[in-house]
Amino acid sequence: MSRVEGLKCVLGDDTYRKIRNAKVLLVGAGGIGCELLKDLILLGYSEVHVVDLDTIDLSNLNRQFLFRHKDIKQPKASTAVNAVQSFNFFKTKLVPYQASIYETDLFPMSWFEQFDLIFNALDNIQARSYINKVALLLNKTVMESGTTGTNGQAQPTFPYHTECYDCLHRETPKTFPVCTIRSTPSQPVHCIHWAKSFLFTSLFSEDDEPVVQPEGKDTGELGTDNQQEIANLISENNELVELKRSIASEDFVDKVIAKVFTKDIENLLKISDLWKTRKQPTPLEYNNQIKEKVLKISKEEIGTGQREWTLEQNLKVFIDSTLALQKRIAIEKEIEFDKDDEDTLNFVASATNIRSHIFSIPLKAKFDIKSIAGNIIPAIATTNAIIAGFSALLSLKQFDESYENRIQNSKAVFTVSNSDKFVSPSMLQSPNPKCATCSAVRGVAHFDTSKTLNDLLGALQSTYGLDEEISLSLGSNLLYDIDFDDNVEKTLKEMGIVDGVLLNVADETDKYQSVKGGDLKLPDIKMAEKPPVEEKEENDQDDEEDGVELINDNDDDLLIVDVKEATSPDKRKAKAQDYDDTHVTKKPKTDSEIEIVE
Amino acid sequence: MDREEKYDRQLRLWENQGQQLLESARVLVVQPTVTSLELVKNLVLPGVGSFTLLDEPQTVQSEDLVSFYLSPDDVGSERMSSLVKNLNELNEDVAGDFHHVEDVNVWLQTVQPTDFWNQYDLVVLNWEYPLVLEQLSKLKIPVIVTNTLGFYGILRIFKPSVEVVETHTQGVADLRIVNPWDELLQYSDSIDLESLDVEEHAQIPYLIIQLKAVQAWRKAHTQLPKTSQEKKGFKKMIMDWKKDYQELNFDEAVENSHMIMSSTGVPHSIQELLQQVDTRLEEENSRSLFWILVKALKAFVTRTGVLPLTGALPDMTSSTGNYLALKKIYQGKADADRALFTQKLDKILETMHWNHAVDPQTVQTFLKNSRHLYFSQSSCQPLNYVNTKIATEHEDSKSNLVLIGIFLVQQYILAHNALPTLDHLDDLFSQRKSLTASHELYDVLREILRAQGQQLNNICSVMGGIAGQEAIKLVTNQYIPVDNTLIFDGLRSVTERWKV
Repeated sequence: MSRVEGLKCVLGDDTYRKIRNAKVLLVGAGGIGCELLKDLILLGYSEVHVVDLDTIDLSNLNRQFLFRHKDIKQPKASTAVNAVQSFNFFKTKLVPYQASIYETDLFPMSWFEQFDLIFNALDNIQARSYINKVALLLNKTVMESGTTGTNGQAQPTFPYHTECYDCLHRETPKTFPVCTIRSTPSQPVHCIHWAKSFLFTSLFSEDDEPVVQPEGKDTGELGTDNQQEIANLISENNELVELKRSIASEDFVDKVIAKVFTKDIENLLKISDLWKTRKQPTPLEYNNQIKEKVLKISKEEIGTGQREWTLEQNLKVFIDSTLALQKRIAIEKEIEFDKDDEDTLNFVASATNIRSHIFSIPLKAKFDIKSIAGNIIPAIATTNAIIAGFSALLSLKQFDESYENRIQNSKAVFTVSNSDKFVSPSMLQSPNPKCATCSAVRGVAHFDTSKTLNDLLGALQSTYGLDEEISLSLGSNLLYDIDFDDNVEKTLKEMGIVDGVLLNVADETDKYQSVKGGDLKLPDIKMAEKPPVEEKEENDQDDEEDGVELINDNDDDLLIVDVKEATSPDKRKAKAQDYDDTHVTKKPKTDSEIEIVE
Repeated sequence: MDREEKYDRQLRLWENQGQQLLESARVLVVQPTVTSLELVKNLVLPGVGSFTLLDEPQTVQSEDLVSFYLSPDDVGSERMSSLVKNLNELNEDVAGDFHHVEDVNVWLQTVQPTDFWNQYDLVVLNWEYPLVLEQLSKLKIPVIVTNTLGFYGILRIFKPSVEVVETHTQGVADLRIVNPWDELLQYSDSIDLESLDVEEHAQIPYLIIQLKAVQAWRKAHTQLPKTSQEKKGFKKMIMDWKKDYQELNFDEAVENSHMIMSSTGVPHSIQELLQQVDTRLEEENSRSLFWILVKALKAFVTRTGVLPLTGALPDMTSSTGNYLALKKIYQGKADADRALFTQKLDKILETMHWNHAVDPQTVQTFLKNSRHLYFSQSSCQPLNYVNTKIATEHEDSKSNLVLIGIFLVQQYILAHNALPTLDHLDDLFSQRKSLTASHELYDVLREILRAQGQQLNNICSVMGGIAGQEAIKLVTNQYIPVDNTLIFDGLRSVTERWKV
């Protein structure tokens, strides 16, 4: 039996034919991405576009099977695409991009419209959340996946019909108040942040502009209103900027040690308010005698970093790595912290431990500091193979004629290696009505921005059956409401309604019904009913959990989003909605969002 | 250094000890399929010691190109040598070779020399060839049988007994807050919270606060807080002790207070092990170090009533001085416990005339995991009418039918050395005899046969991933492996497990 017949035989003629015509996007060519790319081309997908910004690292090779030792430092996307050519039996068209998915010039909304499905093979929350928003705008099904060690998850998301990526509260990476990091650390992780995000970046990778206010001042992350402390934060910062100017000097490392581990600490001690309930730090004692002793420490004594170093060993590593970085910066100009860059990791690990010592915080082994500083998540080939396999497998359900069936037949799959079940599926959940992202219905609108605001109002009213009581705003800037019609004769362009902006359309009444029509092409979406207003519980009994924040002010928004200028004429004609609207909306949604192409 | 960096992400799961075992493991794969080659890929990437592919010599045809491991360049070459060459490319640290046999079906039904089998630590088969299983069972070499049929997959593990120390089970450490030993109690008593100034008060480790809270609670109550009302009262008491609202150590004492109650005593699963240890050791063939260590643990528990302390302390807000003092007390107790354990162990080794020295690291790892040890005994019987029926009686799901369907197909394959086709559907269905009355089995069988031996890469990929994971568990002797049969149903995206 030929390969084609074999595939037809297993998939069935209908699914086979559809897959052979399907064009999909794969975001990420890492652990899951490599496996998924293999799975997708062996399923015979017609076209796969692969986006990944990263280049290949040594530590990828234990699982990203398309990469070899010789490929280190090469772009992941194109290397993966080249590697699969030898078994690209169905002649899948493969298009790699070494780029960030956020690049709206390269990847405007109109670009995403060409895909039948989006496969996420990402490693971070932000990018997943971004793709989620794109999918909500364009009404695209996303095959979401992720792994941590032996655990993994694959889950399709159907915009407005099933849980979106943002429906679940994600544990966002913990942030600490600036003052905890800079003045009053109490845990190893605080010192790691300080070493990585403050000291390292200030010395090796930032512009050397003096500051007039401390970071976090305008975002409310400062965590203190002690004026003396704030002033100290600023001067500490600016002295470091000053110090950076002498980065080429021979005694640079001594100056750094004297400043950040001794003088800065002495200055902190002067702010007596800080130490009323805290143990005071002890400035580092460092002189020629100690230096001599430290410099005698051998490489063997330092070892590989699995065990904790002593203070002297940390100083030795700090001096050595600073000297190495000092040499490199003369050529490289700027160095970014990279967990796989030995010099940067040594610098951060040793600086962390010296600071921990000063603040009487337990020291950590370099191996552990690497984990925290690099946000390292354990990863193995097997879990990635399983999850990618499920992601591709579940994609087969996405070719059913009936959208309803696609949802019904789709599942979220979890693997838990140590349990009896190994893989457990669950039905897809309905969207969370309180989800700030998908409780607003979104879509893409295509129109000529030389039309007036009045034209837009008319189109909105006739398309969605809205009456005069609507309001339009761009961000916090109100453009129109029933009592504010000064702008109606202005063109959309004049009002700032151009490609790439998000227009918020709010219905100020309770009634609407879907009526089609109008000159401007507005997306074919259904206005949703308003949910009952929930009363906020007054006394939250559960003191162990954070209170749930209720979203209460944007229940009835219709959001309109405009895209970056479309790059080709045919893309401009792209329809706002891919699926026919014969399916029944199971659960009316709260809001709407639309995308517009000029 | 290079190696550590390359394997960094997995070392965080099974650490150096597991990696060393993986790197010394030798795996034999008989008659490699798409599924078992996926498994091999998943072992080569993390750095398995070596793999050997065994099959008849054959020339690669263009229709053999079905997955990543053969490319158009290989057409016309010998299949096994091409496979080995391509798989070797995945990781230069892994040794791969192949073993040609004239007729693999004859080979599978021939007794092989013990020396041949002893070259391997794990054998992977496509089906349950009785003679091979029998030989390997005698030699105690674990076997994985895995295959896919259309959208279905099966995995069976044959290992007579599974004894795992490093199970990586999540659990809380027993810090003995409820039943402290003398030194800890004396240290706690030496601290008078009330007399401390605010700064010192904020630097007392939360374990001390908890110890004092338990003491105070016991003065007023007959038992530890149980109901949510009592637990609330307990937490409130701690909060009321704060001298300054910013004191993080008191917050930590409250946040971690649920652990005090849940972590004491010897867990049920460990008690079971202690109960059967003597019987196990009497059986001649289970005189493993695992059971000897369990016996020593039993002696330890009989004497002390608790499991040995690990000495590990959680992160906490504290001054270095206080932390180090506490650390010293915990470490001192852990050392004392280890000394007592080792003393018991030595005695047992002596009476058993066990001649091998036990590595202190092994003892250390055992003690660290003594709350989470795992043991399971497997029947290691091939699927047959009797135990398939047991599976049917015990479960009530569609995966049962898949298990029976695969069993019937396997019966056919073992008897005929060929895959059944749709023409055999009625015949196979009639073979079910009393296994099931369900006519749905007919549909399942049809689904299996419909694929006509075509392996869907995706299903192979998932199955090869699962089997690879299990293989790693077996060779590293970490994590708990599937016991002992797993069915994967790709139509419904579920797996189900049976012990047959």
